[in-house]
Amino acid sequence: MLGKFLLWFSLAIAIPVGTAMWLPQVPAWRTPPAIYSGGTSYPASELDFRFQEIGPPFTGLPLITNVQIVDFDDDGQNEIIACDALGNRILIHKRQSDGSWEESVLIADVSVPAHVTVVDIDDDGDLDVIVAVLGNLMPDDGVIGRVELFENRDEGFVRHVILDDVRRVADVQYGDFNGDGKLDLAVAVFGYARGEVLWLENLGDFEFRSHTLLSAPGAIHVPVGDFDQDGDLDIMAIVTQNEEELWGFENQGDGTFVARRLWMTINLDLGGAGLVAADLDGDGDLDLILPAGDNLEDFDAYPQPYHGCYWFENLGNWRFEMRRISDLGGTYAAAVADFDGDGHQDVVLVSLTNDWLGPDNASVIWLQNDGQQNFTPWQIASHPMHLVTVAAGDIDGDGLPDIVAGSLNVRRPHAQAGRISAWVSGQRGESSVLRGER
Amino acid sequence: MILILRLLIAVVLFETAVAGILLARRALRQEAQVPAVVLHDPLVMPQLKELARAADRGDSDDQTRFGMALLGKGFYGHAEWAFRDALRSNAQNADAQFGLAFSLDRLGRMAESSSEYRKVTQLNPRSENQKLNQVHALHAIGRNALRQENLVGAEESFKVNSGFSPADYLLAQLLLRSDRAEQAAPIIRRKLAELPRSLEFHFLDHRLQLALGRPRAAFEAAAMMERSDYVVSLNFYTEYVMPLERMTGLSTLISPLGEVAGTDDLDRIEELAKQVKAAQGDTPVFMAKIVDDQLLDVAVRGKRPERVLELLAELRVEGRENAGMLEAEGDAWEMLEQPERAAEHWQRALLLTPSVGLHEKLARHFDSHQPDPERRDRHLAQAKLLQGIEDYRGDRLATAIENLEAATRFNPRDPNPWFYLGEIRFHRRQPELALAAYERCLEIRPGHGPAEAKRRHLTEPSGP
Repeated sequence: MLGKFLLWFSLAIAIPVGTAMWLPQVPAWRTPPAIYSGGTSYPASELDFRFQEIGPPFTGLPLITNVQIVDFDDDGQNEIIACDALGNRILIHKRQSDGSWEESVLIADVSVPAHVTVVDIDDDGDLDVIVAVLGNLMPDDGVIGRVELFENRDEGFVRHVILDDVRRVADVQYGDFNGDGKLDLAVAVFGYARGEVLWLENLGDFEFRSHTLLSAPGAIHVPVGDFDQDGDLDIMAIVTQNEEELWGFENQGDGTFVARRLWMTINLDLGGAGLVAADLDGDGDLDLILPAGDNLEDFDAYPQPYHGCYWFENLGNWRFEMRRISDLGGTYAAAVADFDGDGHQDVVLVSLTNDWLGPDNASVIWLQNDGQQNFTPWQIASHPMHLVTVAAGDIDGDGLPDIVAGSLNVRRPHAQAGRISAWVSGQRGESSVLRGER
Repeated sequence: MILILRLLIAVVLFETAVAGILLARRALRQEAQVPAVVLHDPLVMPQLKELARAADRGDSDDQTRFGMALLGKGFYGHAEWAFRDALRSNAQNADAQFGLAFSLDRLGRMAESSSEYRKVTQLNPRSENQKLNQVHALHAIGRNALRQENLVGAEESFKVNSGFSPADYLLAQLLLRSDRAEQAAPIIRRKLAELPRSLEFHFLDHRLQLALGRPRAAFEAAAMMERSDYVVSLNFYTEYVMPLERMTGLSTLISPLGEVAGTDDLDRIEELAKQVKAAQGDTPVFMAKIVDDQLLDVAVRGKRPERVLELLAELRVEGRENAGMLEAEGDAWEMLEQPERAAEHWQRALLLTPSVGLHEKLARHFDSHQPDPERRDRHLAQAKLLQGIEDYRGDRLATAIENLEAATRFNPRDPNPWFYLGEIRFHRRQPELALAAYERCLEIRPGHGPAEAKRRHLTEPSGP
């Protein structure tokens, strides 16, 4: 009896003690739930693109805000110009005979350049450089923006600050808006809580008078073109802070403009990231392309279901019809070229904030236009990540459009970082998606 | 004895049943999941793994803590499940409920997110923070409706949250954008009475006046917007995530550094900065840049020019160059008694970011080392102008006028002090004085667009 008593007494003690001890060690039997991903990936491109890093090897986290492909020195071969917000300078890359690219500083000491515009502003036969000075990459409502014009002279560039005392400037474009024979400028003052769209009237001798077209924060790009085909140049603007709106400024021919809000959405989180003018449907008028995916206000931005690319088809008489043509998460920039040589304009998109936990999610895709404006997405690369700017043009002299993109490494994960990357067009063939691996 | 034995057997059977239930529940739990990713910040993943272990063994609060740490680093998909686990353990856990709703919000699953935010509003808040979360949850439901382009739903949510300035703003904005300016007007007027220096509500007032066909009133509203410095935070995300971001990683070390930065305790700043650098290792982390800036600042303030130059050389390896670095280099050369090199670097810094301090340094340089009264006065004028503008924007108008008038004396050919003197008088409703100042500005620079616009406004016949 005593033995039985001791046995049951021991069990009465051992069971709770043992349970308490072993409970934390019990493994989980359930299959872990699938983690949701809003990332986007696409079939590998059937067009062959060869990855190439442009410029010297880098360390750290590059901050490239803008890239352009332009024949700056008029030698018949395109150069690559890049805005480097880490070094606060404008870089130029020239292709060498062995196919490598030599980097040099075109202009030093510009405070967080957001965009560079290359144009012969003084009509003296060489290309001058106009820089949209952001002043701070991070959100800042201070009066820290400028437009700086670098006059190209034999002895070097001469700096003219043609607009200051404004908030962060994101874009400058040019055109003769008042028909006086001198090139004027359209300016997107992004700011933060405050911003505006301006045009700068060229008074000669590098003096400009500013005119306000719109007071609104978040103006990113101001493409210029004759959108209504009446023979003068109009200005478009995409406004993306708090209010997501597309504005058109119809030139009356003399530098007076009629402002028209062409489109808006109440989705305050769309993340409009730029505006590109191009005749995407080949009908002879300029359409607009809106890459959308800017969620940089978040510490860790994430692709959203409305991100991607929107095409605004110009229907004439200031009517534009919007259509979504891509769902690439975190889309930040777009460029247009006929990549497959079928005579139709295709689109290349880059992503700043796709879901980078998914190793196959896209950072570069192109949208193949079948001529009826049905767009098929093809993935070119999944890295480098954090691409914020893209340009299309021939960089290797073979007559085919290539792709150049720049990385802005401000968000996690700080891996697979890039700086200035190129995807050089080759023959149609096997996918080169994996060839870009570093 | 038999009775005791029977009792013992009953206890053992009961214990066995309870243990079985506990073990089964434990075995059927969801294991805390850590993202399979390598981050450059070497502290994050080990800390997350530790929190995951605690969540696995602990209770709803531990699971919530794990979820919050995941949210803080942008692992929204993983955070979702941590919060779901926390809610399985305790359905009344308001922090977990808010965290779940927020995770879904950032994952772009708006409908699910709003449904979870609604549950937040129905829980009993146990702290001020949880009360605030309820207001934010209601606001987030409205924002989600906007993201779904559901105008009616958004409007309803913002109306329910009336009195919360971000909701009032978004409601008035919606009304304006849907051609209901008359309905937006009372909200905007009420908020401007409450927050007279709110730039957002002046912005809406500007849009309102345009919608009502009152261009002069719209112009004046735009002018007020320019003068206003109160910012209504329309998005609570940063406010919510910032403390969560600091739960793990180098941020845990950078936060204490931020607290001492700017104090005179240079040794402490340097010690903390070096701790971060040691933890960081060789991998680049974007937010760790603040540490380099602090080390540089300490070296300058500690008057150690060689150390400044050494640090700058390290930073330039990565291709970094900025106004702070150039100013620090100028300071170092000044300490090394090479004033020309100092001035050269300060001038480069000035091209990037003009500041009162830089202009004052250069004014001193052109006063003593390289005497040039004209250049000295130009820098003094710029220093006074920048100070005057800062005073103007900070609403210290009397001091602003003193500084701006001093700027006009040091450099009579600069139009900008005149423009800002005009601005001050415009806002003080002294139109004649304002007009005179704008005209002086335009005499010097006929292309000064903002001065021209103000002159036009003041001289054209008054209307609505």
